[in-house]
Amino acid sequence: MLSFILKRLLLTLPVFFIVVSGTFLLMRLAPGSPFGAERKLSPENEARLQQRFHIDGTLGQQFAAYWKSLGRGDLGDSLKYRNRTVSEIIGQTLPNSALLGLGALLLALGIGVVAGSYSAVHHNTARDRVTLLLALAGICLPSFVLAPLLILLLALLIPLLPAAGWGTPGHYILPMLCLGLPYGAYCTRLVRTSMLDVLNQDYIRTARAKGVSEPSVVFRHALRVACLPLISYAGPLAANILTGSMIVEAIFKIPGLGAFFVNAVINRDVFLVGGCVIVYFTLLVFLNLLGDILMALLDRRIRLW
Amino acid sequence: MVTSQNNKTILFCLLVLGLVVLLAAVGPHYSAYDQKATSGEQFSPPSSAHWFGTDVHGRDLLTRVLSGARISLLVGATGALVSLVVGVLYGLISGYAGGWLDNLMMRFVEILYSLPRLIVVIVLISLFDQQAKTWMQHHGLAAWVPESRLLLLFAGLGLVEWLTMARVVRGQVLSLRERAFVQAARSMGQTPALILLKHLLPNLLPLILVYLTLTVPSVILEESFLSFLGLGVQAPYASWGTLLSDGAEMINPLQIHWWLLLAPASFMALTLLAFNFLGDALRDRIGR
Amino acid sequence: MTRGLSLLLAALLLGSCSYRPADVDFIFINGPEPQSIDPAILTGQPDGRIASSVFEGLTTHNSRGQLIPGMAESWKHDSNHLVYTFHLRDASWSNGEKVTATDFVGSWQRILEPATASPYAELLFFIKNAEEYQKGRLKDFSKVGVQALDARTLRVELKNPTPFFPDVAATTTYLPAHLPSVARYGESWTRPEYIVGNGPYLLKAWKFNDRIELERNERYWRKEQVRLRRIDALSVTQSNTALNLYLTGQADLIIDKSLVPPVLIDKLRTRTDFHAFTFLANYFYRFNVARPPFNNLKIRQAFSAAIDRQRIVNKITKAGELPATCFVPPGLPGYLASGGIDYNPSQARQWLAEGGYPSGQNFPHVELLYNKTDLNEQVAVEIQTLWREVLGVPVELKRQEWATYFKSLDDLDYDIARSSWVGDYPDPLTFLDCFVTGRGNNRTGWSNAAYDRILEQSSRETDPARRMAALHQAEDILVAQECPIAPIYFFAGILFYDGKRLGGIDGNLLDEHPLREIYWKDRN
Repeated sequence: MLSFILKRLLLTLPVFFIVVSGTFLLMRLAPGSPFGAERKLSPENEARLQQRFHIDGTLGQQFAAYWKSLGRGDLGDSLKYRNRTVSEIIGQTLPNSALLGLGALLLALGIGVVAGSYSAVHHNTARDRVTLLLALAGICLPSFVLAPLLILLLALLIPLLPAAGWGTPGHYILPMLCLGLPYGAYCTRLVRTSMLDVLNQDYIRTARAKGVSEPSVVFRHALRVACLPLISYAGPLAANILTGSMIVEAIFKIPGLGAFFVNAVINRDVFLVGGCVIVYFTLLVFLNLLGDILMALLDRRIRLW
Repeated sequence: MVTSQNNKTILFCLLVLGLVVLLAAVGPHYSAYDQKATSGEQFSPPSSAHWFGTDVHGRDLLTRVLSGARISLLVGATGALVSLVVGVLYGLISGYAGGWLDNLMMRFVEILYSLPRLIVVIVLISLFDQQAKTWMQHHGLAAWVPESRLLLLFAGLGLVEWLTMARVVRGQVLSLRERAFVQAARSMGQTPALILLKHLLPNLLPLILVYLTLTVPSVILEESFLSFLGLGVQAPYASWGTLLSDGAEMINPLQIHWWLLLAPASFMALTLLAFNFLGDALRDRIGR
Repeated sequence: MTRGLSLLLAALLLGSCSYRPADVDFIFINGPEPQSIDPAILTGQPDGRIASSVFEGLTTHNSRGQLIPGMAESWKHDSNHLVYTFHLRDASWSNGEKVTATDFVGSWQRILEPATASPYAELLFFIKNAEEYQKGRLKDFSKVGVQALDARTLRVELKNPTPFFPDVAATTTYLPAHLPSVARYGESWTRPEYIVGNGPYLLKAWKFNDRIELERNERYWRKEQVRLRRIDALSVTQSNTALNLYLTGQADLIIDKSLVPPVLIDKLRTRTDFHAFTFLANYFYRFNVARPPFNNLKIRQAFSAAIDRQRIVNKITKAGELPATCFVPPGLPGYLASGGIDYNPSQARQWLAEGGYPSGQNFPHVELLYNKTDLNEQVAVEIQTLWREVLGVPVELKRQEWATYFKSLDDLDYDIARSSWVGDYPDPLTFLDCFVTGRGNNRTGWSNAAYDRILEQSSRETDPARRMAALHQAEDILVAQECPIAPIYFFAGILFYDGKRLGGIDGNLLDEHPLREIYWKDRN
């Protein structure tokens, strides 16, 4: 396993370089200036600011300057939020996004496994169809629709939870639901399908014939293999949750990284975008690696190393 | 198995989907209203004049939902197609090859995943808008795609929609290729291509199908997100995604124009429901 | 299971009352996250509100937007309004140091320093030689018209007679910075842990994208009048969220008008906590005069006359905005607004025909550019319909996101573009100045020698009445004769607060609502 991990990390380094460079180049190629405003900045001022932030000169020079500062461990300054460094912004907002994202991820995965297996086990009965319909509702109700509905019901009409904000456990519930439930629906569908597949396999029939109890069949034998697609999906799922968190963060006024990220792209805040991409990339790589290892552990047949 | 019920389900779902496509294609022509026509009747609830009510500009919602269906269906179809063709193939090869090739291919997927979609679309639009316009005029697509930027949006979305399918298929192939029947085929000297197509693909079909039914809503909503930020569908045109997000904004404790959310949501739900049940029935049919 | 669930519910219900921090006296929704509160850098209104609470300039405003003394307890001017002498009061910074005239000289110098690249430096160009210094043509700052005669006397020599200079001195650009902190910490001097201010409040904490926490400055010279000890300023971008926070009691005031959901204004208008007022801002469309078809005056006039402004403010904006036919908003004392082009369908069609396109036949493809907000889009859709119905011209809507939109404006790569302008000080010049030839804020390619000349002459005019008349003449050229812009409406500021409980806040022309004036009526 160690050599597998090492091989993976080896390739990750050039990928990191490509991703960060690609993002930087895209951001600098995109039309518009980071300093555009309703009140136009004079060309001299624009030039001075570009100089100050090392985004003057040719694209190659800017590129080199950026990598030089990355090499020092300096993620740069925000162009829009002056006198804040990118590390500072990420440091303050990432924990909030991470907490929210983690909760949503666990919720989605949990719902997926439980509802998916339940539905598969009761295939073609009313319970199966109801679960399917609920899953469909979850898919059709993305977070930006679910959020105002839940806020209306649970925060405004019945003042149970806060309508927005962050800080107490109460603030955590609605955003987590809004972010996690739609993906829970996706996971349910995935698990259900693969569970149905697995339950029809020969070795499961053998186990049943041998007298193994049904719960044991489902949980000990079938679930392990049925979860494989879900594990493959977990990496992209986390990535989606992080980018999807922007809407939830805006609606619930959560001081997270998602909102900063999207606004940074729109404001051409190149270093902030770079910092966010580095964070997301690291997370993605880690989750994909973890997912692969988990897959190989769960299904002994898989040979990754 | 329950074949006849299966067949009925398949037929029914195909019928529903066909109806939706038909409505999208010709519905707006037959509507009494132009989807762009504003009027003084702002926010009127469903009535005999406007079956689904009107919006802030007094435009007929039903017409807008049907016109929006064109874009959403196109977006969904593009995403599904790209996912199916590119994603499945990529995942098959990567999973079956294993080792360094798998490593390399999955890292390429990670690159495409990590590049911020938003900036890719912005740059695509800024670089290729003119070419897209000429291409569109050449091929006469103006009726279905109101403007060239949408084409670039499709391209931008297409670039990433196959990634998850590739990853999920690859994971499954990693497991399948160790199975007895695959080992047997290999020992019989069958070429990898044959193994992939004859043995692995049929086993993957249930997963692929279910994943397709998840890709379609996902890409429709992705488009709505980009439109929300100003990059996709342009006013006064709409798509289900933008109608959904507009409708969602209307939910507040003071006054709820529920029909603004209901119209697009119900059409989308109907289409996705049909699509999902179709996928399930097909899976039941093809599966063991 | 059920017991656990009911316990959870009970806990939530009990906890639901306290989603508001206990030690904060007042919470208001400021708007989007401020970028900086350094007076040399800040440009946005949310930024300015915080900066005006932490720093105080020579003059400032009260809750009704009237000019009152700030750091200067009195000032006098010569007969021509060319030289102002400000007498500073005995006031200190939050670290005990005295506020001196040198603080002001140094702060303004910092803004005029070319290296600072201050976006609002041009507001200081009223001062003699300030522009030359900022543009690098003058290297010796002692020649710039601001001097500290002694520790508490500041002498300002202006380039032109400027009777409204005390109003200009109240803008955020003229706020003093604590120079020793700037010297020591560089651009980081405004961080909560370093910042030193002379205003009513201190920056206690700044939680990114969440809130800015303010605490009363006990060294502020009139701190007895500041009744709120702890204030939180929330950063919110979604209007529905702002409303929800207000309705659930997590905020006491919504101060940013763009955070009131436009579709709800009908409903909200009937509430007693809804307060709308006209203020110094204009929503207008720019024409690209540099290329056809809008290089043709008749066509510009036609398009302007086809806009039913009353319909827009009745159907779309609905907060009681005033339709605008001229550029300068009403309410400026001594100034008579010019009359421009108003809605007149038949006249519009005639102008279009005179322009060479009777009934809109063969009209070239043109686009209306705007940046994405709900309001902009809704206004654009309505006006697009109007142009189609009245003129028979189909205009395509082009929505771009923020940075691309400004680039298109700057590059003059548009046909018609949505724009807005907020006045910086209560004088018509802040509006009319934009359209002088070659100004950065012009963005239309329009150039008119007579306009430039009249404005230039008016700046040297010492008689206020004649000056206003000249400005009126200039505006006439802008909105009635040449029409490079089509004004649509004057913004209405909206404040959301319970007037029975909250005092010290009023709608005013400048949209100034100093935090030091606000108080709860039921507490002392």
